[in-house]
Amino acid sequence: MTLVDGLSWLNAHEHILGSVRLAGGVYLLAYGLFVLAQDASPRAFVRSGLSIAAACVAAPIGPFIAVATITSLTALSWRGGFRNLQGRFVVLWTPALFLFIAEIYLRWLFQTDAFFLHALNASRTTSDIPPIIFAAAAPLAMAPLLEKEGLRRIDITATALVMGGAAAFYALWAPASVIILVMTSIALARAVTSSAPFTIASLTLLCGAGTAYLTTATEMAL
Amino acid sequence: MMISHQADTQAHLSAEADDRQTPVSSAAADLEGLNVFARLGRFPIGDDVFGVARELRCLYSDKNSPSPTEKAALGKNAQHTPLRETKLVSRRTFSEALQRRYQEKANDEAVSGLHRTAPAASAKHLMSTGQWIVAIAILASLLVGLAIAPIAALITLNAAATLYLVGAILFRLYLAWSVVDHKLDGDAPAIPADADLPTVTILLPLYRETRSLPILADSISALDYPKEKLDIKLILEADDRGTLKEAERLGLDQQFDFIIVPPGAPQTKPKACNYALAFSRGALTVIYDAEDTPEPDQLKKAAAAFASGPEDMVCVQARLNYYNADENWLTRLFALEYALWFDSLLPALHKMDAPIPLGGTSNIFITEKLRELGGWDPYNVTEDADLGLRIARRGFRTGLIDSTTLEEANCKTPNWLRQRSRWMKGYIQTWFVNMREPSAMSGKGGLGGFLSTHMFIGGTVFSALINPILWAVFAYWLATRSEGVNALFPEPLMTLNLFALLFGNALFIYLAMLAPLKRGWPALSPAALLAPIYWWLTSIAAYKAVWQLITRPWFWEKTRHGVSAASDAKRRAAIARVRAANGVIKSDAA
Repeated sequence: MTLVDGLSWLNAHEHILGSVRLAGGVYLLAYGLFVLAQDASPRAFVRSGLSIAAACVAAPIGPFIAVATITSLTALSWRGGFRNLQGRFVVLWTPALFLFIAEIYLRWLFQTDAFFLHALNASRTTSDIPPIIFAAAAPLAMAPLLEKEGLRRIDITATALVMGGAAAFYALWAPASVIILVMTSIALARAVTSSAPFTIASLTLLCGAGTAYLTTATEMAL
Repeated sequence: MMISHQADTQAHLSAEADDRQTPVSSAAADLEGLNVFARLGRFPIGDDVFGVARELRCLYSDKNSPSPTEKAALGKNAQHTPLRETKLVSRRTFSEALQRRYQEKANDEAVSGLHRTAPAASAKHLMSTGQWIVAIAILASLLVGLAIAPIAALITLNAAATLYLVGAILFRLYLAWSVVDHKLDGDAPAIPADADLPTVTILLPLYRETRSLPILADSISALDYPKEKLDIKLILEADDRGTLKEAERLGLDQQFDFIIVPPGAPQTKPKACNYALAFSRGALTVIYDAEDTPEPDQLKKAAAAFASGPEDMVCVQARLNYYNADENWLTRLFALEYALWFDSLLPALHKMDAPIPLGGTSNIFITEKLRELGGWDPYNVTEDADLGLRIARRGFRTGLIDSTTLEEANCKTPNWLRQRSRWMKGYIQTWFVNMREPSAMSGKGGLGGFLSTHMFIGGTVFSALINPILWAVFAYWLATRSEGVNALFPEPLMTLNLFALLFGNALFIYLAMLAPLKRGWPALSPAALLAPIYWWLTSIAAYKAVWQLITRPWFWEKTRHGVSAASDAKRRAAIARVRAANGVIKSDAA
């Protein structure tokens, strides 16, 4: 059995494995929140970020993950550590969050699966890609800031590798997303290290919209 | 506790000296330190300081020498002026004598001056006859419409509200986009040499502010400006003995003039400022609130802006934000709101030459022009915004300076609601006053100026009033999927409503989220996600404002200051510094 065959089998049995994956995702998310609640050190930030990223992989519940991540980061900010970093993180996540909320509402309102972000509904894979990309790009983009805050380079690299790996795993279903992932990472890295808030905002929005569009196009082509 | 005053260079004018009846000799030495204290621009006596001296039978002297020009003028006058009957008294005694002499006239001018000279600019009467006619006509049409064709009438109302909301969303988006490259610390004009700096009157209107006073006094003392060019007026209401006592305890009479505003309605900050303006001698006039901490070089930056700015610029506004921004969720959202307003939207309005609704503090005026404009409207409870629009209406301009005054953000919800309801009430007053002559509303800003005045004055209140209604309709529809509600949202209107609901709310939250990044305060950004709760509070304040406008139109809802944890720490440090600076020490025996 090849890797593709294995993945196909997993995909075909989504209805059986879905509940297991959802439970795993929730557990990982809870773990991430627990870490943040216990400790606001840089290492805890990384562990929490990894848990949340893993939760994204485990559970096809993008909007839920987005909200939960923001909640966890806000919870961390209340503890008084890395607040500037988390503020930037939230700024990066928010457009995606709004897109998810709008998508859910409009799909419900019009009782349709096809809408401006219908990629989210095209398959389990594409529904997870935008949040995964943000999760993967964030540590890369924030590396200079994280280092400035005292985080070790190896921790940042490890985080980026795991998050990037998670995104790449999903990108197997949509190869074009690998390119998008790289482009998004570079754009976000440039944006976050820039001091202009509107640059961050516009690039983030652009990346979110571009990712959604291209993954949709890829999905349809495949 | 015994308090003693330390001896200083003004010992010869100490409290004991005030009581002496020693006539001042005509010797030049006695005149050397004469302070040109009584430049009452609007009174008949004008610049004739010796005229004042003759009337009041006293003179004020301190250690500060007059400028060479003043010396020459004084010397010339002294030769012709009989001063034999004139007493030499302290600054405070002289000020009190001056206020006694001119109290009635200054008070009358403060209360009625604007209404007498420009009744259309005053909020003494909320609506003009023409406005009443228009309002009644609109109401009558609405009632007739509801009676004859209720669905069509409600759709019309819905369409009007939706079009306004969509317009407000697009306008804000445009404003935010137009200042993408704006930096808070942009190129500033060169600051003039000390000798070229103008005299500045600092108005400090206070009411029951014993807790904030030390912080304010400390902040004013820290201003980087030649002390002899500051004319500081501590403006107190006649019934506010507590703040006066605290000022005396801190020894502020060494440095500040105490202006006691006579009792009488309306008891408002603008009336107090107008009253003090009559006794001001600065070429520039600035207002600071009780809880303010301006950047030390703010007045110098203002002087530089006036020196290099256009001829028609009569006012400059500094930015405001909060020193306790991070205290709780309310202060965070308040700080985000101010960051968005002062750091992004005001620069955008300025860029398009639109009228600038002034903030209540840290606006610096050319005194002469301020008097020409009629000062502040004592009947308007957002006299600051009103004056900003009047400046534009009269063809003048307001500039912005790259300097921030930090204030104490309201950290308690009831206190916040009191303050916000007053602002909302004032916005309604200001909108009605300005709508008496709509064609002049835009200032030099054309259509953009006209729109901005509606969006930020009338529109702020309208949005706050309409939001709960729209959300209630939405919630009802979500719960029932009522066909009756569906009928009010025909297809094109539905699309616009969806745009306002999804894009509008997201945009307003996201703009608030981005606002603190310019200041390097990204830690505040997540608080923007709580903005909808803040909007609900604003709506409560708006409804309270409407009620109060009917029942108590000129009532000044007092905001309590000095209640935050951050202000406690600042206060303790400030008390020690201020008392030391003014030569007040605790007795060892205390």
